[in-house]
Amino acid sequence: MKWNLKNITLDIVIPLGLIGILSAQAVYSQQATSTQVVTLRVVELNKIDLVGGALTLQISNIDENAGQPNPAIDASTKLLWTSNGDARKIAVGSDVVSPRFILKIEAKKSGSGNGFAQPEVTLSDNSPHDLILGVQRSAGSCNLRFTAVATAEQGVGSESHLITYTITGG
Amino acid sequence: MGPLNFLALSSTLYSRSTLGRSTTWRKKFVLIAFFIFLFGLLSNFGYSQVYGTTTNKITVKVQTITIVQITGSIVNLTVSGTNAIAGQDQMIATDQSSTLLWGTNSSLKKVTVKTNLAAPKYTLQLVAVSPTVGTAASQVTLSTAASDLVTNIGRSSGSCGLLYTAIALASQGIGTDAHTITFTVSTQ
Repeated sequence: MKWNLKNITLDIVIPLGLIGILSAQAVYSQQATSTQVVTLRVVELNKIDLVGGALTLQISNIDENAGQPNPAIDASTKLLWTSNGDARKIAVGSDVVSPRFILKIEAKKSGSGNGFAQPEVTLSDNSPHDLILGVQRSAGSCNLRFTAVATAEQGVGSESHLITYTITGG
Repeated sequence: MGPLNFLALSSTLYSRSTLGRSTTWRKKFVLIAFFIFLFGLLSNFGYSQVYGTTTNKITVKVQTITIVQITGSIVNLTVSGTNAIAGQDQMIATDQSSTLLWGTNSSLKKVTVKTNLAAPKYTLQLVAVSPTVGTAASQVTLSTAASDLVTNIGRSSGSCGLLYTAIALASQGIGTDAHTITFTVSTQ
């Protein structure tokens, strides 16, 4: 047989190509596939929680130089939050409309997450006050420092506050 | 004509013929008649048992068969507030509503899984739960590269639950990932 391009093509290239195609089909026939659609959706969520339950601030001594009772301070409570939203803030408010004694709160930002602690807030009414600004797509925490102040003129007594912390649009 | 009929006819013919008058011829006639009777008997016996024969060659050929199927073809995973804990960046949602079924008559097979989403925003993990046959691989994070889901499933039909775990970080914000998950039974 004379080996020219036509003979090589007809006798070698085409048969080898067919064998290759058939082999590939044989390999594929040994596999099976199935598909499934999975949709993962993340909606906006805002979570806020406290570590540390009810606390009592007791004013029980007097600054002799000032002639006024010493403030009572507690920094045992920790505030935790998680938000995947943008430009959020944390506000704080009391349910007491006209408190007899002065109750102040300050966020001591030492934990993780973004956000900017605001200056100490006096809970003088039941309206919300900014506690932390600039919370954005993060999980964070801070310590809460409560300060109770009473004057001698206010006498003795007790007052209960229900403090509410809220993540809102900032 | 049956052998008994043939024997009766032969006897009748013999009695009417002149041959019956000779003792020698009588013996020969009886002997011939006996052989003819025997031949007829055997011939009829054979015909009553076999009417015809033929053969048929049958080849049963079993090719490699491999199938895989999913019950519950659509899964919706939503990471919402119920899945979050204050102070933790990571939020998780899970789903185990679908089942993977497979069958193969070839040995050394495994099930692999991959997603078509090249750059997912969130993490999607999958693990086979309680496979009836084979060995479940450890939890895999889905990518476009195939990962083992169940190994050593050769020559079996089996099933397993599919446990999806979605992981989103608060820092990743809100959004949606749409995956098309492909399960493949392939050679191990």
